[in-house]
Amino acid sequence: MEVYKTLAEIPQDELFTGGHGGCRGCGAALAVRQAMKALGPRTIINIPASCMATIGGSGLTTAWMVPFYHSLFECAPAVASGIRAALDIQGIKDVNVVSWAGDAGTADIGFQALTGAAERQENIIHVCYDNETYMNTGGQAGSVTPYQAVTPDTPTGKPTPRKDMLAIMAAHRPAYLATASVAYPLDLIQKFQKAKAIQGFRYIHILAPCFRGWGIREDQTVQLARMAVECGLWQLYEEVDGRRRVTVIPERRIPVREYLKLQGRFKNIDEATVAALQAEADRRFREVQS
Amino acid sequence: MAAKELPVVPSARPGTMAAADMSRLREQRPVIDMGKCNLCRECLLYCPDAALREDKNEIKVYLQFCKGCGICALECPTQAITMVGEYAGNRGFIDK
Ligand code: SF4
Ligand code: SF4
Ligand code: SF4
Repeated sequence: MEVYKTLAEIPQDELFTGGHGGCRGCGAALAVRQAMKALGPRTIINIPASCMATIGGSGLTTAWMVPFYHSLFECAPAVASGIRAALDIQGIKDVNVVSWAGDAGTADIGFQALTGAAERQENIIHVCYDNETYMNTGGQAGSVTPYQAVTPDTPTGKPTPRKDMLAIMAAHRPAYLATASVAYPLDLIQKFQKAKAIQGFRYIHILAPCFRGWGIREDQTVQLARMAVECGLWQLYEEVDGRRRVTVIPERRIPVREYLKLQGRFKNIDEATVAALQAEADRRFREVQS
Repeated sequence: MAAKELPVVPSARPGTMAAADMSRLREQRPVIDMGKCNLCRECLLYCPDAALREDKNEIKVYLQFCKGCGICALECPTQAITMVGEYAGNRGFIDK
């Protein structure tokens, strides 16, 4: 299938307009803006409780140029499944049905609906925009919050490691699975183009930093999303029929310490943890090279 | 518009937030030196607020949308973008 090969080919039309309610430098809003370049106008978006549900407006005004439905926290993939069923009955085929949730709506509160929709092989795209905390309710830790990250309810650092959502979703054998990052827009947009062309259950997990939760400056959103890839803690890949292909091998490699030390939330991280994360990153890079 | 033929929650009209003016949130604004810009277009895709556009080989800032986050200035590979303060004086008068 044809995907955009250069930034110049990407349309300037905005299906998620400026004027939205995100904070300055919001990674969540940026992820949506980039993805909509690929999804296009024949798309129905369904978002559960999350920053992203409120950033795009209310019943009175909206930044969305496509149909948008705000669902309850637990059920975005279930609602998306229902929207697909309604379109099928009407014989409407050329529409992307997307449930777009944060890490809470994906990995925790929304997980039962997500695993159900994946198991039934619903013809939808589920997107997790991951800022690694519950930002809409004040930044509490969730199951994908990293080990030792300081949040309002883990003031000395989260005591347990990050849950591996990609492994859990891969175990459902989705038709398409990919990781993405707001720092690599061409890669992100290409993945949405590919997902759009495939039928069945598709899962895309985007690292979308939030400066508030991470304890960084608001202009560092993209920089940190890139450093996560450069240090090896966030790998960019896709899986079709369970076969993995790494899509971006960073030109520059940095130690994980450099990525962690810029973030206020890791102020309490200990040396043993930094060394363990470095070993994990090294192992991933070795796998790619071999 | 797609909303006409697709089911949609009967509430706001599409894109109505684009009428909002974000200038009140902005403490600094990007100023682009087109002499340094190589039209790589990276800033267009890094702006969370759709405030940058390319028009006739020029990168333009739509100040109505720009919140002044500074991502574009930090990411521009040729350092063509400088953030300039919106406020003048220690009493914070807006200099516009
Ligand atoms: S709290 Fe974070 S994710 Fe939520 S709108 Fe602000 S920057 Fe975006
Ligand atoms: S990122 Fe810099 S060089 Fe590239 S188009 Fe924008 S202003 Fe020009
Ligand atoms: S300062 Fe931020 S909002 Fe303004 S144009 Fe640059 S990236 Fe966009």
